[in-house]
This record gives sequence, C-alpha cells and structure tokens, in this order.
Amino acid sequence: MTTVKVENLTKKYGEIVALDKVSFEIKDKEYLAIIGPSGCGKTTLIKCMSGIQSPTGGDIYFDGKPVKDLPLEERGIGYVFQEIALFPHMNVWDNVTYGPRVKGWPGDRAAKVARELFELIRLSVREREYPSSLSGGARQKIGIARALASGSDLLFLDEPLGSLDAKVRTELRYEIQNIIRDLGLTAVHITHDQEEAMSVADRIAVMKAGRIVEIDEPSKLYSNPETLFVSNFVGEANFLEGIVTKVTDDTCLVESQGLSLSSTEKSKREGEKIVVAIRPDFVSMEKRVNNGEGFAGYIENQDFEGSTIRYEVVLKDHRLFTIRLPQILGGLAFNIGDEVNLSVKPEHVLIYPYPEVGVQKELALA
Amino acid sequence: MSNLSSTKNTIEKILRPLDRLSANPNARRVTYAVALIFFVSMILIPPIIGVVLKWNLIGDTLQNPILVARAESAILASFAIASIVSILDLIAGLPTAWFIVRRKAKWINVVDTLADIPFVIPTVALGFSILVFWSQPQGISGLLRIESLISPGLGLIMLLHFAFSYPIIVRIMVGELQSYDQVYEIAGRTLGASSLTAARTITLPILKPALVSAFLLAFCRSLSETGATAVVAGAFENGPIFIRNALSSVPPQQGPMVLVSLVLIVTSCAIFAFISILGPRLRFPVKKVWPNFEKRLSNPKSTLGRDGLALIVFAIFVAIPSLFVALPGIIAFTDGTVVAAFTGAGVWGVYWGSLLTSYVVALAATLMNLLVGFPMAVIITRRKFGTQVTALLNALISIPITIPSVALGVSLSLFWTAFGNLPELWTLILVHTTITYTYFVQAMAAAIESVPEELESVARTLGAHPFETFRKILIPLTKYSIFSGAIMVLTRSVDETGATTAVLAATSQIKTAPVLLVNWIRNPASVGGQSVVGLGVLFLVLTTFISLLVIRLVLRRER
Amino acid sequence: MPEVRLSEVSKSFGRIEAIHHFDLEIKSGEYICVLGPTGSGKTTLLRLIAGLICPDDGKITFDGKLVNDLSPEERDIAYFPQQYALFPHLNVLENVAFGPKTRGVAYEEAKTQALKVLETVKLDQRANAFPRELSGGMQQRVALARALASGAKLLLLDEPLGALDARLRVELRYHIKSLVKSAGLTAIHVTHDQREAMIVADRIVVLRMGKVEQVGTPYHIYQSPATLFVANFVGETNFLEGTIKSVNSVGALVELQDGFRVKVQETSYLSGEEVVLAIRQELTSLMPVDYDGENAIQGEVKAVRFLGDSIRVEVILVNNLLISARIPISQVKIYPKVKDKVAISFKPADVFVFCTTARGLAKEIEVI
Ligand SMILES: Nc1ncnc2c1ncn2[C@@H]1O[C@H](COP(=O)(O)OP(=O)(O)OP(=O)(O)O)[C@@H](O)[C@H]1O
Ligand SMILES: Nc1ncnc2c1ncn2[C@@H]1O[C@H](COP(=O)(O)OP(=O)(O)OP(=O)(O)O)[C@@H](O)[C@H]1O
Ligand SMILES: [Mg+2]
Ligand SMILES: [Mg+2]
Repeated sequence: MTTVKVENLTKKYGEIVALDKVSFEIKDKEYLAIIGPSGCGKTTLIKCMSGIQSPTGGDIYFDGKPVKDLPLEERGIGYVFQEIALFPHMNVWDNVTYGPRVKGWPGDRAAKVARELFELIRLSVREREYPSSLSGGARQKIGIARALASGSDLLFLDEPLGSLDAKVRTELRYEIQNIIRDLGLTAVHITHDQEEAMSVADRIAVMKAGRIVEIDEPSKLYSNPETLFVSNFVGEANFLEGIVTKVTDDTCLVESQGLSLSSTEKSKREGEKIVVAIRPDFVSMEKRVNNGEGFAGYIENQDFEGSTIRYEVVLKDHRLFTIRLPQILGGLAFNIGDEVNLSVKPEHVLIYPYPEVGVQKELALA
Repeated sequence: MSNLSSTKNTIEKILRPLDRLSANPNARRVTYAVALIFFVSMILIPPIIGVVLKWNLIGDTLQNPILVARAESAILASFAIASIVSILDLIAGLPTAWFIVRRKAKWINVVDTLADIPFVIPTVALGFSILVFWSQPQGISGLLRIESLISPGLGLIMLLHFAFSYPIIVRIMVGELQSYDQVYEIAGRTLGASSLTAARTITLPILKPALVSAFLLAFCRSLSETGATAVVAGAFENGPIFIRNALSSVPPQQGPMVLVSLVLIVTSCAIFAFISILGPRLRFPVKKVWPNFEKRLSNPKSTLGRDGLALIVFAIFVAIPSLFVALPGIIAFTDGTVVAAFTGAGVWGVYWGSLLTSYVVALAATLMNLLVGFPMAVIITRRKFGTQVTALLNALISIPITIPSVALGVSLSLFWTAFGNLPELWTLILVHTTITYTYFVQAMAAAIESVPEELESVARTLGAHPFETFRKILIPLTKYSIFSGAIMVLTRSVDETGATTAVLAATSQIKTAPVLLVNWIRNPASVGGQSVVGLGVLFLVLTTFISLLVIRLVLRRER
Repeated sequence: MPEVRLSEVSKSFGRIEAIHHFDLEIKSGEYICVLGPTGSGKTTLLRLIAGLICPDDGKITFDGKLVNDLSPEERDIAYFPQQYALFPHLNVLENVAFGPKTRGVAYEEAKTQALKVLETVKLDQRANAFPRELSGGMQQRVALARALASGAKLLLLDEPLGALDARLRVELRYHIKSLVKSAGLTAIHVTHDQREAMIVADRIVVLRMGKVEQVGTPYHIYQSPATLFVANFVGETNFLEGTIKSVNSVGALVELQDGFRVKVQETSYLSGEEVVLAIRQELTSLMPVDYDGENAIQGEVKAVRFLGDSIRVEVILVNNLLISARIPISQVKIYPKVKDKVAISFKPADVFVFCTTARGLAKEIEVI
C-alpha cells in the first residue's frame, strides 16, 4: 500500500526556479508518467520526492506520513537511473543483493529474493558476470531488479530507457510495466517520449517550465487535451488560427481564412480569437470529384512510415496540412499531385483561446 | 589593428608549407619518432646507465661493514618513513578531500586554498618552517617554554614528510571526487545504505585506482625529498641524506654514493611497478556491512566530529607549521636586514646570483619540455603507436619521479660527465629537464585528453591538414593548460634540491637558491643570523607564490 | 557529384569485426540511411568513408576513383559526428566558416557564405553566440550548417537527431531531409531508429554485426523484409513458429503449436519444412470471439495499451502464444478490456514466411 501526495513543492537553484509549487497525488498501485520538454524540471521533481535533493519548499507525504525531513536511505523507495548506474566493481549478483545486504537481511533471505527477481526479469545472465559485459537492455533489467530487491512498493524511474536503442526501448517498456503490474507497485516514470508514456501509464502529468500543466489519462490527453501546449506536445497536430463565428447548444462554428469547421467544443464566445488543433490521425481524405469547396487541396508530399502513410496536403489558401492514414485502411491509395477532399469529425476539432504570447512561443519545446 | 592582421597573415604564410608537409604520413611519423628518441635517449636511459657505469666502485664499499650497515639502515629508514607517512597521509587527507568536495559552504574555499600551502612553499622553505615551528624558540617550543619540543631527527622528518605529502593526497582525491559520478553513491543510498556505508562499499572501491596513485605519488615524493629533509634531519640519515653526506665529504665518497643510489633506483622502480600492478587488484573489505553501527556514524553529529578531527589534524600538523615560514622573515623587516638584502651587500650578492641561476636553469628546462614533451603527450593520449605501446610509455614516463631525486642526480651527473663532459650548468639543465619531464607530459596529456578527438576528426574532414588541425584546434583549446603546465614545471625546477645537490660539487661556483638556503639554514651563524636566513627563505617563497598565483588565474580563465 | 562505392570493405578492431565484407553503391544525390542496433558498425562505416580510419581490406571509390589512401581533408566530404563536436573556442559563425576558410576562401567571403547557410537553418540571429550558449536543438542546426557550408557534396551524418528529445526529433527529421535535398547533396545518415530511417531515407541499409542484412527503399524493406531480423527490427511484428503441412498452387497450410492450422500465400516451401511466420501487428485484426473467417484463433486480452495514433491489444491465444494487434485510433469504436474473450485473424497474403534456422528464432531476431 503506497500513496503519494505532493503539496506546493518548490525547488530553486539560485535564480532558476526548477519546480514552481507543484501539487498532485498518486493513488495506490498507480503508474504515473511524467513528460515534458528538456529542462522542465522532471528530474528535479522525482529527486525531491525520493530525497536525493531537498526541496526549497512544500511537503511530500507517503501513505499520509510526511517524509520531507527523512534522509534518502530511510524513505524506502526504489530508484532506476537513466545512467543505469550498476556498481561497476560488483558482479550482477552482488548488485542485486546490495539493498538487502546493507539493510542487514540474513544471507538466505537476500538470496531468495534475488532468485525470485532473476526469474521475474527473465534474464539469462550468469550471476558472476560484471555489468560491463552486458548489453544496455540487460543492464537496465538488472537495474530494475536491484531497485526492487529491498522490497519497496514505490518505484521511481528517471528515463529508464533513455540510453537504449529505439527497438530495445519499445520492447523493454512493456516488460517493465508488466513487472510493476505483477508486483502491484506504485510507479513514477519520467520520459520525454510521449508514446512511451502513453503506452505504460495509468495517468500522465505533462510539465512545462517547472509546473504541471495537465495531468490525466493518456487517451484523454491525446484526444481531448485541455491546453494548446499539450495538444502539440502529446502527438502531432495541425494548427489553424481563426475566430468563433457561431455558438449553438452542442457545437460551435469556427472560421479560419475562409475555411469553416464545426466543433463539439463548448463554452466559447462568438467572435473570440482561437486556435484550432487537428490531429493528423483524425482526418479522413478522399479523392476529389467535385470542384472542391471547403476543406480541400492537393497532395504535395507522401512519406512512407511503415504501418502508416503521412501526407502533406496544400490547402487552397496555401497552408500545409498533415494527414496520417493507416496502411490497412487504404493509406497507399493516393499519389503526389492528387486533388483531395478532407473531412474531420466535430469532436476532433479542438479549440483553444489564442495564446497571449503567440502560437509559436506557446508551443516552443525548449 | 591592420598591422596585427598582416602579421597574422605572414605567420599563416610561413606555416602553410608545414601544414601541407604534415599531410604526408611520413613527415608525421618522423616528428613522433624524434619525440620518442629524445625520450628514450635523454630521459629514460641516462638515469639507469649512469650508476651502472660506475658499479665497479661498489666493490670496495661492500668490504667495509660499518659503511654497509650505515647504508642499510639509511635505505630502510627511507622506505619505512615513506610507507608510514603515505599511509597516515591517506588516512588524514581523505576525509579532508571529502569534506572539501561535499560540504557546500563558502568558507570551504579557504580550507581548499590552505590545503595547498605546503605545495606553494618550496620544500626547503617548508623544512625551515617546520624546523622553526617544532624545534626552535620562535615556534611552539617557545610557547611551551622548552628548548625544543621535537629536535631535528627522525620525528621531525616524519612531521615534515607528512606535511608536504598531505596536499598531494588532498589534491588528487579532490580532483577525483569532483569528477566522480555521484550517481553510484546515490544509487546505493536509494537502496538503503547509510552515507558511510555507501562511501565505503561503493565510492572508495570505484576510486581505488586514484587512491593507489595518490599513495604512490606521496610515497615517491617522500622517498625522494632531500633539501628539506637535510634541514630537519639533524644527525639522522635516510637514503638521500646518506648520499648527500657522501657527496659533501671531502673528497666525495663515490663508492657508498653509487651503492646507495643503485639500491634506491632499483628498489623504488620495483616497488612502483609492484604497487601499480597489484594495487588495483587489492580487494576492499566490501561485503560486510554493519547497518546500525554505520548508520550511527553517518548521522550529522558523527560526521561533524569526523570533519572536525580532520580539520584539527590538518591545522596542527600541516597548515600552522607551514605558515611559520613567514615569521623569521617578518622579523627581518624590523631589524634592517631588508635594506642589506636589497643593496646586495655581503652574502646577499651570492643569494641573488643563486636565485638568478635557479630561474635560468628552470626556464631552459621548461623550454626543452615544451619542445619535446608536447609531442610525447600527443603520442600518449592519441595512441599513435597502439594501445600496448601507449600503456608501456605511460609507465615509463613515471620513472623520473619514481626514482629518488638525489639518486637520479648522482646517476645523471655520472652519465653526463662520462659522455659529454658538459659544463656544470648544462648538466644541471638536462637534469632539471628530466626531473620535470613527467610532470609536464602528464599535465599536457590530461589537457589533450579533455579535447574530444571528434573535434579533430571534424576539422580534418572540413579540409584542415593535420598540423593545421593541431594549431587551429588543439593549441587554442589547450593553451591555458600549456601555459600553466609550463609555469608548474618552472616552479618545480626552482624548488628542486636533491638532484641539484648531486650535480653541483660541494666546491662548485654555481649554486641554486634552494641549495644555498639549505646551507644557510644548517648554519645560520655563517651568514649573520636567523633573520637573514628567514628573509632569504621568504624571498624564494614569494617568487614561487607569484608563479602559482599566475597558474590559478590562468586556469580560471580556461573555465 | 560523387557516386560512392564500397566493395568488400572490412575493418576489425582487435578481435571485433566491426565491418565485414561490406558492399554498397550509392548514387549521386541519394539519401541513404544506415539502420542498425548499437555496436553494429554504423559509426565505423562512416569513419571509413570519411577516411578517418583505413579499411583492412577492400576498396572505397568516389566517382570511380580509389580513395583508400586519400586523407580526410582531400576527400571533399562533410562529417557530422554523433555528439556534434562544435569547436568550443569558436563562435557559431566561425564554426560554420571553418570549412570554407581552410579550403582557401578569403576571410570576408567565407563569412558571407557562412551567414547565408546560417539563414537556411534560421540561426543567423545567433551568429555571435558560442556553442555552449545554445540549446541542444540549436547546436544540432549549427553542426548541420557547418557541414553544409563546407561545400562538400557528400554528407555523412552520424545519428544527427540522437541527442534530442523525442518530440523535437520528430519535428526535425522532416526538416533535415528537405535541407539536404534542396542543397542537392548525397547523404549517408546513420540511426538506430527505424521510424526515422523510414521517413528520411531514399534507401535504407540494414546493418547487423558489421554485415548488411538488406538494402532497399523504405517501402521495399517494410513490405518485403529479407530476413527475420529485418522483419523484427523494422516495424512491429508477431512471430509464430510452425511446420508446413501441405502446399498447393495458391498457398500452404502451416501447423502451429497445439495443432492450430493457418493458411499462408506462399508456395516455395515443401511440406514438412519448419518455418517462422511473421505478421505485422497492424495487419493483425481483432475480431469477436465467435468469428470464424480465415486464420482466426481465439484468445483472451492480456493488456491494452494506448499509443496515441493507435492502440495495441496483447492477446494470449488458446495455445498460449502471445500476439499483438495494432488498431488505428480512428477505428477504435469500443475499447477492448483485459480478460475479454476475442479472436485474432490475419490475411494469408499478409504473412511473411521464413525458414527456421539452427540458431533459433530468439537469437535470429535478437537486437544487441
Ligand atoms: N544542480 C543544478 N544546479 C543548477 N540548476 C539546475 C541543477 N539541476 C537542474 N537545474 C536546472 O533546473 C531545471 C530543471 O532541470 P531538470 O534536470 O529537472 O530537467 P528535466 O526536465 O529532467 O530535463 P531533461 O529532460 O533534460 O532531463 C533546468 O533549467 C536545469 O538547468
Ligand atoms: N576504436 C575502436 N577500438 C576498438 N573497438 C572499436 C573501435 N571503434 C568501434 N569499435 C567496436 O566496433 C564495433 C562497432 O562499433 P561502432 O561504433 O561502429 O557501432 P555503432 O553502430 O556506431 O554503434 P552505436 O549505435 O552505439 O553508435 C563495436 O563492437 C565497437 O565496440
Ligand atoms: Mg532529466
Ligand atoms: Mg555510433
């Protein structure tokens, strides 16, 4: 049983505010992912939570008990590092049993736990091998086993897959999640890869400049993000600037340079300046037979992505629009130069107030 | 301005043909070969051959049981002192280094700087300072109202060696701890290890190579030290003092001198090889953990206690004794000695002359090193001759600092007189080049190592010839290190006593400042009293102090 | 413009054979991607072409001219190393102007050229900044500008996007290709990310342990992988082991573990041969449990993972094999739930068939 509560957590490095009054809760056995652009404070957040660093202000509770003043080694957590950080001078077995050993467990108990973990991570390495002779993926599995060996229910993972090859990364992320599920742990997983976050997490917290901008389930963040920043950061999107022309009970009509779209978004005022975001995956496309009123254009570019095909369509007003079609749904049926009609369902037309700093600045990743 | 750029253009024009020449692989090979040949023929061979040439002199000495017994006990004393002192230094220096790196407070910088003091002060001056502090009325003995708390001899030698080896350990360990990736230790702590346990079972084993090399360096320095030891030795003899005494007796006792030198050279090289090979294989007592006990020792109170103790040891045995160098000098300001010094009257004429000699020799040695040491550093860091040769060269490079400097001096001087019959000054320059070579090459190698090889690769693909890459990428990126390395060599050379004593005959007209000062300190009455001696020491300290200040400023620029 | 050819090139470091009898022909103006796992020899390959290391064996020619003994500065190439390697002591402009200057272009002229290139990567505003003052993405662009400004016609890019955040990487891969193409250069781009390779490359070379596994257009590589390794490394694939039961003119029948039989559209195998079937996850469909069409196998949902543009459903089949199906997000009507009884199915035409090898499936597809 482990729940986590963070209240107004703040961390300053001199002038730099790395964490700015962050508050959130994690439920028991929940898998929380934290994503955000480089330098937004992800690492600082979990370092403060785990006790590696001391926050400037705010409170942290594990299971309702304040832990802010507890030293790192007494918080009873597991931590998996991006650098993997297996002890280079110890063999695999000594690495995994290090936790039990420094806690003074009897040898046979430590050995039993280690045996079970080796089973769990399904790794066929010899126990006397040294970390330097293992591949990156195998090393990180040992890293996880080591973190779990002293029996903590709360696991922090800081970009656990960041130093690995793309392919190994996708395979290992599922394995990690299965282990965490099977053992019923509460986990906080940092990554800058949105797909990784979405595929493993129960909820995702998106951070920007030391704050959490949104925290929600992956599907919600993807299909209906609350902020313009998240709509861009979690998956690609096309952005069109426009204004709200008409508001009815369950839809509103927006216009962008002569292009008119309807959306199911509510609570917008007529005449409000807005930004429309449309994901490339939610647009359908067909070859044009009529003379192409409305949402239409021609295909300028086609990229084969494997399971999907990505098209760049030049709209009538010369704006570029990106569309992604799955191969099994006839994604390969179009050619460069084809005149096409596009359509998108109102629930996939996302609308955001026009940001004060401008669209480019608001979406900036750095 | 335009003048400057036209000079630049001219230089560029002169260097262009060299750039093109460097594109020829053979031209490059020749350059590296020259550096290698210089290393082997001027640095590596002479110290070993020199004593071997005269080994026939040993026979007579071996017949003399009293001499042999004296030599034996002197050599044993040397190794005993070096081992005990280096271990004590490791024990005392490690907590200080830890504390300097890990505590985050402004005043730590003061400790950091103070820990360098024995470094900054030439060893002769340090010997003088320790002598004044422990055994003369101006120091602690005066405070306690006794004649001499610790009179010159074995005890004082130990105290001296402890003081000058201390900064070596602290400096190396501070550097290592700073570049050590703390993530390992943090990982240990997330697994439940107390900070002491994590340090003992993770950090120290990972830093083992550094600990070994710090120990070795302290060991070699202690084995080698002559000037300051002569100052505090009294009637006691260790290896270097034995040689020094043999040299200064009239006529010089060549037999015993060669014997002890040979033994010292062979043994020190053997011990160096033994420890460098076996040291890294030593196992730490890692496995056993005493969770509660170590946790108690890790709590803030115990940590404070440990740090306090480390600081007290540092203050009493290193910092305060070293600072006493200034005291007699300050007295000199009040009694008019200063005026005499600047007019160059009496003994001062000889003094200024010796200081000049010191710097002339040092400058020449530095220049030699710049010319031949830099290519050697490139050879080592860029593995121009393959991994194995590089490892071998790396080991061979350390020989000049492994061998006790008097022994080295004896051997070199025998070698150069046998072969070149060079004037004394020239021999002196060559000896100083040898002695400082290791320091220079190692400093340059570290600097080059910090420049990623990729940078040179990119420059090459962008059209730069090898020599052009060298001067447009490598030199600009290491220029501060080159400069500070050069100054370090300069200071080391000015400071050198042991080998210099061996080269300069007791009757020689040429004297370097430290050699002169050793004589002054041992016999203050001959030059007009303690305040003259004190002032002479103080001037030497000031000149090195300025050089080292320059290094610090320059290195700060680089960062 | 150079046409690069490598024939029978080998390079070893001690006992490690980093590149092994490597053959490749690159046409002028082509954008080639070398794709392979860590340690497969990608960097070594680039360094060989750049002339930074010499091959032990074999020939490298540019436009038919042997360059084996030519030093890097004479090869007229631009090298973009893994960690950018910007010159820290030079500012952005001087970094970019380094190439033209060493090639003898006058100082002022070189600067003008450099500024022009900086404009194309939108960094002319930061010309006076030093590399350490720039973010990772900006440094990447400076390194690219430096390579472009050198006037070399062959560009060697070693994981140019590797050090960037995932999100930024996606954005920049489109950018990098259009820059290279509009400058009309030949490029060799090294990466371990198959999606990046698919998007930027005209042709992909799949490398494994110093040897070529397959060469072809992204479409070709994806739609007809030559080996099990490629089938696994490029794309997301399910693997099933079985034995050919019978073969006729339109296809074959394969028996899986526990007697399940599936049809494949592949006639070149003999009955009794052991084979491995590879099916793309996006071509594996999820069906109601009572579905009785072609190649349907019942099972139970083990996990459902949301991936943004699609969901991935992991199903444990009744014969205990694990298969994943990937469904485009626009096709997901109701979310399957864990423990739901379902069937999976795939078309015979969508199955790749490979021979079983002595090393076994796991070793064959292993990514090291
Ligand atoms: N020890 C430190 N001293 C000073 N500033 C720091 C320190 N550690 C982090 N910062 C600053 O705090 C901010 C947040 O850093 P943090 O490492 O938490 O970001 P991150 O989200 O983990 O980034 P990345 O994805 O690059 O790992 C950054 O602006 C960083 O420069
Ligand atoms: N200078 C060298 N000395 C010894 N071995 C080397 C050297 N360079 C490369 N190798 C070895 O050659 C093999 C191929 O290395 P290479 O760097 O080309 O791989 P890579 O595909 O670029 O990998 P990565 O994706 O990790 O960059 C590796 O096994 C590597 O250890
Ligand atoms: Mg981070
Ligand atoms: Mg590489």
